[in-house]
Amino acid sequence: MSWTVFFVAIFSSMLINNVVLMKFLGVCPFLGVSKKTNSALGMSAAVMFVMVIAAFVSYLLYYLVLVPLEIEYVQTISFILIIASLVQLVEMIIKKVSKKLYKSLGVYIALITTNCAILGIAVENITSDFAGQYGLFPGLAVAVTTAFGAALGFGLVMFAFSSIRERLEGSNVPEAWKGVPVSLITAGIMALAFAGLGGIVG
Amino acid sequence: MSDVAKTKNVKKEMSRLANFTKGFFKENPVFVFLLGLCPALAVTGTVEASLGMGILVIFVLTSSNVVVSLIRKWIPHQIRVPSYIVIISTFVTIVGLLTEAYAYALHGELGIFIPLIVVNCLILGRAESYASKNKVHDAAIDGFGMGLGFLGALVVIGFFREFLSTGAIAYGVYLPLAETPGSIINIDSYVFSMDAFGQAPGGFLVIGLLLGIFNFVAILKRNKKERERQRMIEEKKRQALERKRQKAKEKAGANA
Amino acid sequence: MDNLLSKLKTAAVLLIIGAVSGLAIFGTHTLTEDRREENRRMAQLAIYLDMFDGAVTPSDDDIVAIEDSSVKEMVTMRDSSGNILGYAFRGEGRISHGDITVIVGIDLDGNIIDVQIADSTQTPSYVQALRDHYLPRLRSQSIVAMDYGFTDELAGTSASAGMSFGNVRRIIEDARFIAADFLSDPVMEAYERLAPDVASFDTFVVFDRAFTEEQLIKDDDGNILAYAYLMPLEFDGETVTYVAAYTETEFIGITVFAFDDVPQDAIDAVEAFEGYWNSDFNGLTFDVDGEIENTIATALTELNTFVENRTWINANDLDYVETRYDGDDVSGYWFIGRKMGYNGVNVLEVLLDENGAFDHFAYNQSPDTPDFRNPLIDAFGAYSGQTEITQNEAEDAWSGATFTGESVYAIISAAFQYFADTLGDE
Repeated sequence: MSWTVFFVAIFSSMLINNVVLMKFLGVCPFLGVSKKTNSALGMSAAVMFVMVIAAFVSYLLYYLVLVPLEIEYVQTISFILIIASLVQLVEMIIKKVSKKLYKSLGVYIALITTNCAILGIAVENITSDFAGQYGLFPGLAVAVTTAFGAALGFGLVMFAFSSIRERLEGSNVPEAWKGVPVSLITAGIMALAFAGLGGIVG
Repeated sequence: MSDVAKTKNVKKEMSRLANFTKGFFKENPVFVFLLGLCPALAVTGTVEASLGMGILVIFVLTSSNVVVSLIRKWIPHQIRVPSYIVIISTFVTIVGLLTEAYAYALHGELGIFIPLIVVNCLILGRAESYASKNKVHDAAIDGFGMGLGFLGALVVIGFFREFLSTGAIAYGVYLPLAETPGSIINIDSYVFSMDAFGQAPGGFLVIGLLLGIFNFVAILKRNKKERERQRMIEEKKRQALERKRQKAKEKAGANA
Repeated sequence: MDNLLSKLKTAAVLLIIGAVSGLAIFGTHTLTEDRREENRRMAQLAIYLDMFDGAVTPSDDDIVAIEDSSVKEMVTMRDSSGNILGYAFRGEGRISHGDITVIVGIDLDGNIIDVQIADSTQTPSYVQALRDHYLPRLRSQSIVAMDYGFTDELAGTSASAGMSFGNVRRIIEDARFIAADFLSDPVMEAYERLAPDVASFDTFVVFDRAFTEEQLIKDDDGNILAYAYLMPLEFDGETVTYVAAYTETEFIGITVFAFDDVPQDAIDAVEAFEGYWNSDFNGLTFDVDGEIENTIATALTELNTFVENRTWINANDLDYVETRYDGDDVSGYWFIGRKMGYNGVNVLEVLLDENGAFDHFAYNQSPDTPDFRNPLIDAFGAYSGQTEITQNEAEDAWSGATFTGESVYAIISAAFQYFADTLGDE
C-alpha cells in the first residue's frame, strides 16, 4: 500500500464523490444551516469532529465485534446507536473542556445524530471493503482518511453554498422561487460543476 | 343512537379522513416540510426506484408509528429519542433483510439508502410529534397517510427525472412487477434525453423547479382569492353605498 | 427511592425494547437467510448465464476457485442435460485507478463468447470506452490466436485507459491459459513437444524477418526453458505457423501450430528436421528434400544465423546484441534492451555501426502513449553518427514522457558502454 492511497481517498471523497452534491448525504443541514457563513462553518467543524470519530469507532466495531460474532446484519442499528451515544459523549466532553467551543458548536452537535452523512460514511466505509483491500488496520487508516476527506468536502460545499446564499438574499428572485427552491437550483448547478470533476481518479 | 352521537361520529370520521389525507398535499413531507430530502434526491432517478423507496418508508413509518404509540405510556421521557431510534432501526433492518430476500434488484439499486431510512427525519419526526401523543389507530393512519404522501412526492420527482433523462418510464427493473422489464411510456427517442437529470445535479434541479412551480401555483391561487375577496369587498361597499343613496333618496322623497 | 425506581424502570424499558428488537431482527435474519444467500449467488451467476445460451445454474462442483492468478473463479457451464457448453472465468484487476471485475466466456471450440466488465471502480469514461469500442472486437476470436488490436489507439487517449486495458488483457490472457488445459490448444501442444515442462509463454522480442516473434517458454516456477521463434510461412494462400526453439547453446527442434485448417503435408514437413533436434546450433545447416521442407529450411537458416550472431548480455537493461555482417565484415551491432517507461516496460532496439557510432533506435514493443514516445525517435535521430549522447532539453520536452525519454537514453548509453567495454576491443 502506498501513500497515494490516502491522497486518492481524500481527493475522491472530498471532491469527486462529494457527500452532499454527489451522494446526497447530509442535505438537511446543507439546506437548513447554510443561511449564514458562520453557522455553516460551525456545523462543518462539528460534522468533521463526529464523522472522523464515528468512522473510527464504527469500523472497529464492525470488524472486531460484529464480524467475529457473525452478526453483520445488526450493522445499521449498532452504528446508529454508536453515533447517537458518540454525539452525546462529544457534546459532554466539549462542554467540560471548553465553554467557548461548546457555545459555538454545541447547537450543531445535537443536530448531528440525524445527519445522514455520518451514518452514510460509516456504512460506506464498510461496503468499500477497505479491510479486504488493505488489511484490517491499514484499512482503518484509509476509512478514517475517507471520513476526513468527506468532512472536508462537506465543509467546502457548506462554505461555498452559504456564501452564495448570503448574496442570493440581496438579489431579485421571483417570489415563487424565493428561499428553498432557488437554493436547490443553486445546489443543482453546483452539483453540475462538481460532476465535471468525475473521472480524475477512479 | 342519538342525533348528537351521530354527528360526533361523522365528525370523527371526517377528521380521520383528514388525518389520512393531510400528508398528500397540505402537509406533504417533501414539498411542504422538506423532510427526508436525502432519499428524495438520491433514489429518485427512476419512477420504480422511487416507488420502491416509498413502499419501504410507508412500511417503516406505519410500523414504527404503531409501536411507538403502543408503548408511549411506558417510555420514560428522557430516553424517548433513543428508544424511537432503536424501534425505527429495527424495522429498517427488517425491511432491508426482506428487500434483499424478495426484491434483490431493488436492494442493489437503493443500496446504502436503505440503512439511511433510520436517519430520515420524517420517521423520527412523526414518532416524536404524532405517534407519541396519539392512539394506536390514529398513529397508524397518520403513518400510512404521511408515507403515501412521501411516496407520491418521490414518484412525481422520479417521473420527471426518468422521463427527462431517458425519454421513457420503465417498469419491472427493480420491483418484482413483471417477468421482463417493459415501459409504460416510451417516446423512443433519445434525442431529447438529458443525462444530467438522471444523475446528481438533476435531483436538485428537479426538486427546486417543482417546489418553485408549486409555490407559483399557490401564489396564483392566493392572488386569485385575494382578488375575489377584494371584489367582494368592493361589491359590498357598492351595495352599501347604493342602499345609502336609496335611503337618502327615500328620505328626500319623504321630505318632499 | 422513587428516583431509584424510575431509573430501574428506565433501564428495564430499554432492556425490553432492545431484547424485542434483537429478537425481531434475528428472526427475520434466520427466516430470510437462505433466500438472500441464493439471491446473492444468482446475481453473481446471472452474467454467466446470460453469456451461455441454454445454460442452467451451475452446481457448486462446477465452480472452482483459482489461486495465484488474476482469474479468481472458473465456472463450467452446462445445459439442462449436463452437457458442457463452455467455461466462464471471473477475473479481477487492481490498479491505482481502481478495481475491475471481468467475466470471460470461452466455448468448447476455444472461441471467446464474450468479455464483459461486470464491475468497476476505475475511471468510468475509460471503462465505457473499453465496453463500447474494445470488448466487442474480442467476441468470437479464437483463444489460440488472439488479436487484441488497437492497443495504441486506446492507450493513446491516456495512461489510465491504457492501464485499464492492461488489466482486462491480463485477465483474458490468464483465462485463455487456464482454458487451454481444458480445451485442445495447438499452441500449447506445440510448445509441449518442444519443452515438455512448459507452463507459460511470454512475447519477448518481435521481428520483421522470416521469424516474427521470440517467446520465452517458462516452467511452473518461471524458469526459462527455451526461446521459441514463430515463423509464419505461406503455402497456397494458407498461413502456417512453424515454431523453432533454442536454448542458449542448442537448437531444440521445430514443430508447427497444428490448427484445424493447416494442411496435413505442411504438418508432416517438420518430420524432415528430426535429425537436427537437440544439436549445437553453431554452423548448423539443414539439408532436406521437398518444396515445403526447403521453404522451412530457408527460414530456419535465417533464424539460425541470427541465433549464431547473437550474444547474450543480460546486464545494464540490455538483453542481447546481434552482430551484423556485410559479407565477412562487421556492419553493425543491433542491441535489444528493455526498461520501465511511463506506462510499462519499453523494449527498444538500438543500432550502432561497426565503429560503435549511434545509428538509430526504434521501439520494438511499447505500451507508452504514441504521442509521447514517437517524437523521441526524431529527437534522438540528431545523435546519428555520434559515439556518446548527453541528455538534453530536446528529449526532456517530451517528458510526459520523461520516463520514456530516460529509458531510451539509458539503453542507448548502455549500448555505448557495452561497445566500449567488449566489442570495441575485438
